[in-house]
Amino acid sequence: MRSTPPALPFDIEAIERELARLWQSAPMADRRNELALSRTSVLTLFVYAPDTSRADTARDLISRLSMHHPSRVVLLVASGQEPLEEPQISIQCNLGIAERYAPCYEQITITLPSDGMELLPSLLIPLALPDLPAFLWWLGPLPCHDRRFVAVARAVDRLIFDSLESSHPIADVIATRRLVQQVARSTAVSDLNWGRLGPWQETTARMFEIPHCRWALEAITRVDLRYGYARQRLTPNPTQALLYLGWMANRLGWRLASFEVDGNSWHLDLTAPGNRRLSWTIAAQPGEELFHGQLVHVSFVAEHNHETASFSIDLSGHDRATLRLRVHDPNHCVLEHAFHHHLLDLQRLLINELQEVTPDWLYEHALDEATAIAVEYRKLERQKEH
Amino acid sequence: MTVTTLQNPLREGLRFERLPDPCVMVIFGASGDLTRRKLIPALYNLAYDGLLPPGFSIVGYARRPLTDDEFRQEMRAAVERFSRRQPIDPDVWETFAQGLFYFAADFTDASVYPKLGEVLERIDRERATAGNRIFYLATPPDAYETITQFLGESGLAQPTQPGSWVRLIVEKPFGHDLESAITLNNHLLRYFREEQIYRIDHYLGKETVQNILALRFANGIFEPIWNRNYIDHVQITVAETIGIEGRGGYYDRAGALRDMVQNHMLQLLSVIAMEPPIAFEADPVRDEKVKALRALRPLRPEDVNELTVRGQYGPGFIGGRPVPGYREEPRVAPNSLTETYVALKLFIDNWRWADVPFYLRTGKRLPRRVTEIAIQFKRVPHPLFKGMATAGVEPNWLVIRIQPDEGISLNIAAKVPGPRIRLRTVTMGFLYGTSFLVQSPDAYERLLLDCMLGDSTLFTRRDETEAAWVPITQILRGWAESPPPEFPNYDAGTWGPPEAEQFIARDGRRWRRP
Repeated sequence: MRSTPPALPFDIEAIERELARLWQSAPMADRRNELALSRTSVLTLFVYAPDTSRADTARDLISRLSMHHPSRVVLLVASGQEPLEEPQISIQCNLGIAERYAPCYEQITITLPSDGMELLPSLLIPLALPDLPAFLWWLGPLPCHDRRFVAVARAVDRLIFDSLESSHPIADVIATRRLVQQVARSTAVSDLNWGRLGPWQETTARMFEIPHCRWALEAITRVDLRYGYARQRLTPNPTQALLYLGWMANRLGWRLASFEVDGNSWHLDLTAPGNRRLSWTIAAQPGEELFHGQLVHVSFVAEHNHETASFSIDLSGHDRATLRLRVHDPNHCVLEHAFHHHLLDLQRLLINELQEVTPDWLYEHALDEATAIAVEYRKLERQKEH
Repeated sequence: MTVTTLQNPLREGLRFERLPDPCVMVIFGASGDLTRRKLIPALYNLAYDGLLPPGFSIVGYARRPLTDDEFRQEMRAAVERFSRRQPIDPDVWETFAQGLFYFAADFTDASVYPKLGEVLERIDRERATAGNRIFYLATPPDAYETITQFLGESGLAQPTQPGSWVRLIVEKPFGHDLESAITLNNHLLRYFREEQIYRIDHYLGKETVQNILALRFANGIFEPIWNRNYIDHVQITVAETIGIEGRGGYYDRAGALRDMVQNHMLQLLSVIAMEPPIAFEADPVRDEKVKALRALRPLRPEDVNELTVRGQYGPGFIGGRPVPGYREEPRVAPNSLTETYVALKLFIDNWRWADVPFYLRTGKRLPRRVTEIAIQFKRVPHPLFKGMATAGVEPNWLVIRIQPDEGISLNIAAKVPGPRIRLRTVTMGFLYGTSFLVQSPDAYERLLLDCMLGDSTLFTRRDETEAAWVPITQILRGWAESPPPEFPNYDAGTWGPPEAEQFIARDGRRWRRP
């Protein structure tokens, strides 16, 4: 039986009163700099940090985000220390962004007991600004197996998490899909790890838009996909790779025919419309921590009427901040294309998610397909165990 | 619109739903300032953001002999200097530069155009650009007719492959009066169809200008009061602190009326005054804009001096530093009568705007850089709060700022807390650039991308350009019939000539202090 978390040592309405007092006492203009303080609200951002280390990461990001974020940010930190601290409430105004206005935002930091899951909805609902979307950015592994979390997710309009943080990726893919279905009527769910796939998806889509390569989309015979695996992590995290495969399978009507696992490499046979077969390899590629769980290479081979085209997409550049597409078409024409991606920029990923207010149907479909593969994987694992 | 969205199942649902077809952009005037300062940096930024298609290529066309590699080096230097993003990403640059080519030729030589065609065909083969072309006229306007004629006569103005397209981008100034604009339009239309022509006015690429349409037509509260029943008048201000920045040769022939009012300011006026379009698509939007322009009340020559004020700056101070007068600027005639300031009052004779004055003013060397549209609403019909209670209370203003601090503010009267009834004006401000967590793209980036996508909503159509020249030509005629003004008549660093204050004061109004 779970123990009841301790009550918070403050009145939630006192937070609003304190904010009102701060706004009243703030001079409405910085006369020395001829700046008017500007208060605009576009959303409420709740940030949950399960420990103080992640809270520091979140503070740093919030501070940078606030340069372009005139809204309310509520940082919820699970401290595990007793007694709990009083909330910290402030209004931050940024000078030097605009010539005549200083955009301001409200920041509230609330310390929670380490097992404060049940308390969360009672904080999220009253502290959300009325009539504006409320986002919850959940740092750390998503507690998608915890039934109490459904009520937390339902208290906001959008839940943002990062499946790269998962320590049990396969089980979490399946549990995340269940959560998405449970909260579908009230809350959209965003995975930052899905957001990282955006540039890969875009590059994949555009290689089949090159005029003399369009035929290749319906003639793919082989796909080789590699994702990073930092050896210091105990297990590889193939979630991003699964979502990528799930996306393609959903868009192109592919179905899983057979599945083999060889260590950290998976070999999948798929059936495309017209009973065409194609093979996929998904392999973990040892590498640096920064790219753990991230796609690092995708290549396609397409064959039709004795013509062959090949495509590859790789991270490139000295800081690997660019996605580079190479195309070899049947005319022996080589085409290269590169653009900057933001896969490693958490702030940009988060900003992308904060701009979306409707459910991402593409993600949900990709997650459905990824879940089907994850279930097959679990069956294979169980068979091995037996 | 040519968008590949529906052909590719992988495209559906992605965040970049608008990706152009692969194409080649030929820039005439590739050694000029516009190419270096605006076009190449904008195209590089589009490449950086992944908004250009694979194979996208640029052919720089100019007289100066250069190799492809020398051209690439010069363009890299331009990007390093003028791009909004620094430092340059070597990997993005490398693949972007693979698509940069140079064509050294004189554009008055008809014999070189077939050779240009051969270059474009080679690029089609090597970079899969499928015969799609954009010709960008970044040359002085006197070259427009020659270039388009030779493009037409060499067959380059029309698509050569099934499904391919050819577009032409024309920079302002688009003519110097109504007659020359009509002549130029007629000339262009001999070789290109209207839907191939993209007349660029970079003001329309600014996010805040597009946001005017969102403000008006996506909010239920504004449109019911957006008319003569509630609006007292409209002020459109484009104030610059800079002088003519080395453009004396051009500016002394053009003046503020042609340089600013005919294009940018009348575009702003048309988006403020237009009726709701039936769809947010190129022709419905432009149909409504052109209707507003056509409804501008004609200016008779004898009325022009009543409805306009001209000014020219003399020496003065900007930001505490002395600056020369206009006539002392390089390449300006010492007795020049060119206006560097103009204020005018226009009326739109239609049901919505009958008798609502639109005051426009623009000038160089004014004390503050600002572009804004200010809409003053009528005062309440019955003054419920009297005497001291309302002292200093302004009428309601809705101000749309284009620059700096893009955004919208609304002035309202509010009661000062306390037992007495005292009202004060408060401003509610919304800063566009700090509210959506994203940086606004440069206007050229937006417009170049739209052209590649075949979306001409933010470009001016033939009838729009000509309709905008009508009042300008009437004013020019009126001025020509008046005695020459006594210039200079305002000091640099002031809000224009004193006549401009009297001009609006005659109507019982005053200019806003932006």
